Amino acid sequence: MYATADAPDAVGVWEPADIAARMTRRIRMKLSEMKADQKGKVKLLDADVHFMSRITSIGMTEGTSFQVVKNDRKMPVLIYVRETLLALNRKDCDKIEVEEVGA
Amino acid sequence: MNSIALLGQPNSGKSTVFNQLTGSRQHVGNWPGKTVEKKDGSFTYNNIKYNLTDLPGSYGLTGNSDEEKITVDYIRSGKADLVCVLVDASQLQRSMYMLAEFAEMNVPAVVLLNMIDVAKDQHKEINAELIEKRLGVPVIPFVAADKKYYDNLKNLLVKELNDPHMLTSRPDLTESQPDQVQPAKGGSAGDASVVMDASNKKYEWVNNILDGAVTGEGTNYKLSKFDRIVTRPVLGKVICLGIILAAFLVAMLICAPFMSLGGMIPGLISGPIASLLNGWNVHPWLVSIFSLIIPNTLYFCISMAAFVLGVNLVFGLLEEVGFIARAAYQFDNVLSRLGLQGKAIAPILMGFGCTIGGASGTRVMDNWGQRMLAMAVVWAVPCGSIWSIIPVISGMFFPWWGVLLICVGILVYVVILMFIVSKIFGKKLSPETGRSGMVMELPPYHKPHWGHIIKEAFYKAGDIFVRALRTVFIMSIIFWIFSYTSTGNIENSLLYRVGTFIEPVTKFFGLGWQSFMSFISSAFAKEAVLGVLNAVFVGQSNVADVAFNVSNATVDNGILAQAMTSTISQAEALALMFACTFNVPCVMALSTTYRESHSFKWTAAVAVFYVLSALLLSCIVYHIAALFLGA
Repeated sequence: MYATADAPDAVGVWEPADIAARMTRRIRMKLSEMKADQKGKVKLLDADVHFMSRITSIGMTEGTSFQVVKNDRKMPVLIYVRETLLALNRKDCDKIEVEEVGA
Repeated sequence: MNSIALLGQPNSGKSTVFNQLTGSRQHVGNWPGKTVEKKDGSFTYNNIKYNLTDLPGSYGLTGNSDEEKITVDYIRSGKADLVCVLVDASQLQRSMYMLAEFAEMNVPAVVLLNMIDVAKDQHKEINAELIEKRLGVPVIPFVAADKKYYDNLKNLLVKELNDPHMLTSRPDLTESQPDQVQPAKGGSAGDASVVMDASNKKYEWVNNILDGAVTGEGTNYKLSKFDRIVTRPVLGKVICLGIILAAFLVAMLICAPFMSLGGMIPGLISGPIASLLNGWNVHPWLVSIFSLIIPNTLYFCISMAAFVLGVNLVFGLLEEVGFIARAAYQFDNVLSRLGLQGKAIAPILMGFGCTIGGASGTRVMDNWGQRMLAMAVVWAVPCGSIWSIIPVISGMFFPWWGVLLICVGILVYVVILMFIVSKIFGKKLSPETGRSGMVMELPPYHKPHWGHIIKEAFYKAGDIFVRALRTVFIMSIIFWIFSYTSTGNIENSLLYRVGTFIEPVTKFFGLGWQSFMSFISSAFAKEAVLGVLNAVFVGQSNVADVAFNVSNATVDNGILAQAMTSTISQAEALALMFACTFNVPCVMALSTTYRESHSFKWTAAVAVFYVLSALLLSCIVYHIAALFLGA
């Protein structure tokens, strides 16, 4: 999706595409790694069919915006999505790739 | 022509609507062959009867769960002439996902915009007419717990049955699977992405329907002050435990007056009835039945109803307010090792007070399988009666530190037994597919609707009283047949004859005939154990009188101690105590479990397991103890 050329060319000059790519690349992380009060967008759900059905019917799909409400060690993560406060177990949160939104 | 089905996500208010419409004219069972609860009922309007079916709660229709399959099959079968879809007005976007899944199905519908009062509290304004125009079916603002809305609802339902409307708009899923309402099979990533696509299209549809129809939504979510505290890792757990225990105490306070009144019945009327019937020369067996069994059955059933009333009032309140979900959040990690959801913490804790309370406390669980498994696990928790007998008996045989060790040993075994129970029964009741990690909604705190909570609690209490009469009576008769003596001498009872006859076998389990009789009685009522011990060892009363609460003999612990220590060994006493503690809880708990689960098969299976495992435990404890303490 983004330009893959990270390294400058042999002469050490950055192509505009590289610079643009560097600037627009967002921080991707697992949902379980986000901090409380951070907002994000769901990018990728690494799920089997069972999990996919459960999680989409309760409001989380790829592209959904959400806010992390609480993320304590060893406890399920609390997320606010589509006006619903959800408790999501940590193992499943590891399977959800998200993008941080907003400063 | 007159069948209506209720459809909606969990917490959408379906059961409230169902109960308000059907009142006592409802029947709860299981869907054939499944561990999912089925609720049928009816109501009359203008002298015509209408059938109502409460479909299982699920968040969607295309998942793999039993609930979803049952719902889809039922709607597809055409058995419902009209589907009443409940939607949560305070969480409209997510709540309408169910409607998006349902839209495929071409069945007449009506949409209830429930919890419109909560939406108003959140400063949301919803344009129901606009949504109605876009959907093509009636869309009615509603408050399920408020009686005032129901005349209008019945009117509308009847009108729609005669002049039905179907949804005129549905999500555009033509690029995805053509027949989307088909449970997705297989586990490949390809199927998962198909599900994802379809879900996205459904939410898109919901957004289009709601576009401009809802105003006043907040963007930043902040945990309420209470939630901030109650979700803290350590303090939160303490608070949850505290609240649950306090709730249980309040429940006990509520039911105590009823139980005392009930407890007076056997003592008061047994004697007079016996004299009366004897005066009429009625056959002694019938005299027994009327003076012994019936008063006691009444007492037991009143106690059960009182318990159910107290527990349902208090825990109904906690559930409606939204507290139970927070407790589930705290304890899910621990309890999932038993295959149970976090909500099970409430019934398990209550089991320490009384198993009846624990069994009726399983009402907070989401689905039938979980409820049954929780009840099976709760039976392992030694109730208050146990703690009143064990120290007394062990004190007769062991020094104070022995008594302490025994109590610790009991608690350790409780945990072991819970794991065993969950291993054995968990496979069927809580299958792995349903057991994936917590994905749970924490509903917003609601102001409780008292009228509804009280009404439902009284209904459940009355219901269990009536249904338990038969169960308790039958079990009492069985026990009576064994313990009855025509002469008042224990050696004339069937239990004695059988007990002494099989004594060689029971001795293998570590129990002589007296201990074995006490063990059997402990399945009937734990409070009776001391009295029964008195009856078999000291011989001052007979077992039946004691078990049926009409005995006048008080237990003199000193005399009992002498009689017991001179008859049985320490090892046998130990075996007896463990056997009684981990036997079937008591006939009231058994009946409550049976009534709550409406499954004879499962209740019987769990009961048989407990009796057999108690015997096995007795055997093990006896032989090990005999090694150290001598037989």
